[in-house]
Amino acid sequence: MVSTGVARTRFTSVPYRSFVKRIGVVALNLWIVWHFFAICTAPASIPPSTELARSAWRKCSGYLQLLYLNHGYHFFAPQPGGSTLLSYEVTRADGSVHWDRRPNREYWPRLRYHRHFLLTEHMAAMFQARPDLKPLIVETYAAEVARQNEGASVVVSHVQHELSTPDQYRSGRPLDDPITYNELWLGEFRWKQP
Amino acid sequence: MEATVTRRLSKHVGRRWRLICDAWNRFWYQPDDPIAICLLRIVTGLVLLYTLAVWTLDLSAFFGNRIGWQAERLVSQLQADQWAFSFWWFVPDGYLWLAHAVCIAVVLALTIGLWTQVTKFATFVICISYANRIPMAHFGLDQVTAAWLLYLCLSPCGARLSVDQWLRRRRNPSAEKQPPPDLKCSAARLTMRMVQVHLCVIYFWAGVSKLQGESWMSGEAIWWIASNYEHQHASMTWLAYVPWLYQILTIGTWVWEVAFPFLIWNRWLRLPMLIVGIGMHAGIGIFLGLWPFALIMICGYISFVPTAMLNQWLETLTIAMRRRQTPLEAAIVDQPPPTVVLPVASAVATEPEPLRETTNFPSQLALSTSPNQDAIPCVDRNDAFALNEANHLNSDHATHKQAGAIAITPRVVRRIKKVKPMFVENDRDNMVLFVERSARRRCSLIRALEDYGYRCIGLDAWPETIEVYNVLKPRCIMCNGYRTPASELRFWRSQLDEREDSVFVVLVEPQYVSQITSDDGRTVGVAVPASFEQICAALDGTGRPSGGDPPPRPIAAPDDAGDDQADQIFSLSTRNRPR
Repeated sequence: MVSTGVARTRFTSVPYRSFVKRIGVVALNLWIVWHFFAICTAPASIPPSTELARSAWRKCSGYLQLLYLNHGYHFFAPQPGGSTLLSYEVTRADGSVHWDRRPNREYWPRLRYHRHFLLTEHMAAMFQARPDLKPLIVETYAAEVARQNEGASVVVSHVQHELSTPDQYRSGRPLDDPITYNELWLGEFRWKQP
Repeated sequence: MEATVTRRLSKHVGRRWRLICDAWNRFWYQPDDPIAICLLRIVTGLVLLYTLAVWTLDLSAFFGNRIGWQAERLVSQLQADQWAFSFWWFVPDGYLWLAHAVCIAVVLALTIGLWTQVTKFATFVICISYANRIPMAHFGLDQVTAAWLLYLCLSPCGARLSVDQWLRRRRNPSAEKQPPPDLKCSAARLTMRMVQVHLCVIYFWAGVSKLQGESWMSGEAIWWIASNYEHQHASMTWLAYVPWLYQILTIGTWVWEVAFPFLIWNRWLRLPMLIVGIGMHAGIGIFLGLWPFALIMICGYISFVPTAMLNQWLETLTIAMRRRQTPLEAAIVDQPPPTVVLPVASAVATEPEPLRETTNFPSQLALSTSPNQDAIPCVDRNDAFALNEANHLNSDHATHKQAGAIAITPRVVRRIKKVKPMFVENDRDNMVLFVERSARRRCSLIRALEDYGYRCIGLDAWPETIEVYNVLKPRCIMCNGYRTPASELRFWRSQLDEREDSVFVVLVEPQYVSQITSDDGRTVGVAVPASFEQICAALDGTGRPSGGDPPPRPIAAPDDAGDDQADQIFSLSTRNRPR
């Protein structure tokens, strides 16, 4: 094997590599191809998509999930829509009532605000994608709201904020006009000490 | 005949195949300098550190297993049958803070380049663990950070700009005398290429997914993003009045994203493509407040910058930083020569004053006043000139005529190109900060006040004025308050009130003079148009220090008729301006 390599380096510019290294390089090349193929299957399989793309993604999904690469990269696509908020009313043991809405624009720094905003945005998305999980999501959020506010009971609502058209804005309607917020009751929960 | 054709065809195909293989190998594995990936490591590490720091504010709310926004019961349902690993599932609620602190320490170690062979893998695991633990609160920032960290795991990302490199040099001092080793390696090239291709994949699919949306095709999508009250950080609602602009931005966004993977490989189009990309992400940062995401995307662009250029920038930066070293740091060499005693003309040097102590080189100030400068060891003529200049600034001290002697330790010094002028107390008392947007007015009044005996600094905006004030602490601040709300003036006044004897002169409309002028006389309103006499009276009237006779006051013009320089704020004419 060694003599073959020496003979090869004599006549070509390709450096000599041992058999193991050559196998390693081939494996590395195959991994590069597989890696980017797998990364492309994730956004390609998002509906509307072909069955071919979805089946290819199913083959790669384990690899993508393991390396945290299973992403669609659909930033503000296909349609930038209105935002979703979580409104709640907490009643404490002493009878005082506290009302608030998440995300609160006073959260600082901006990344913290954005994390809370993502919670409510993903909540709305999950209501569509996994309706079976809706009660669990609402209950989990209500429990956290009650814990943070030391509430005895909490009423949570799902708030959809509609967007304004340029004409509506030009005619004087502010972006946070109360008329653009549509509130949907999600449930009332009582805090039970575990 | 057939055999010949087959032989030629196979030979041609074989040659083509080898060319393709060569091109593939060059693309992925041609050895390259690791400077780009080391910069990528630093920026990615900083962004991840910031992300973790922000998590500190809500750690138990998001990462609490029993109760929290992402409680274990919910996340286990969401991630059922998924290969989503997170070490947080093994951390009890009582140890959240400890685990978080360890994670921050590991990421910090990677950022500074400490034990990178281990910390790069650990940081990648940390990044995906945080993201997988909160599946309903992660977004593009976490996705891209994890991708860059994955590629950094393949590379020698601690080869340069790292503590590891410093430790290696320290362990082997003889290596410093040798020429720097050639650090080029295939792994560096592979990592850069992976980042580049991954960026292309991200942009391509981001662009293609937008083609499915009606608003992206009709040109309204940017308006919908701009008008989303919860998303917006800075208002973009002015776009409602320029519909053509948001339509161009909408179409331009997806065109650029789709074209990126194809045009970025052209050397002539690369720079424009990257500039547009930086502009787009800067817009995301400014208007949506997603600066960490913008930064992590832009830091991926480092992989497109030639390593020779990065090295050149780094070298320039290093030289600039060396120049910015303090004179003492630049001057001292480790071997101090024996002490000698030289006569000096100034007694000030025998008693170092606070100002001199802050400059850190009292002995050098003393040196410059020596009657025999040729006797000064190791100080060249440039240094002597500079030191004389520094001493000149201290000439206001009344004691500078006294003689004395000082023991100094002459040291081998490098050339000191420039000594920053320092202000003594009298200068601060005579100093006027003048805030005025108009450059013409600013310059004319500065010249007049300088000739009158004040040291004057003109500024065109308040934030800079505050910064300068905090450094110099001058006695007088003057501003043009014409058409400025009194509340705003009061606010800025409150920011500039550290000195008890400070004077705040405001040029305002006549009807607001009494409103602006304070009872203690430290805030003085001067009606516009104000004459130079009035301005000087306002500045002088509150106790100008008696540091000698001021130069003759310019003669005020009796009226401003026909005055070419007069305006509605103050009148400095060609006749009454001091010469």
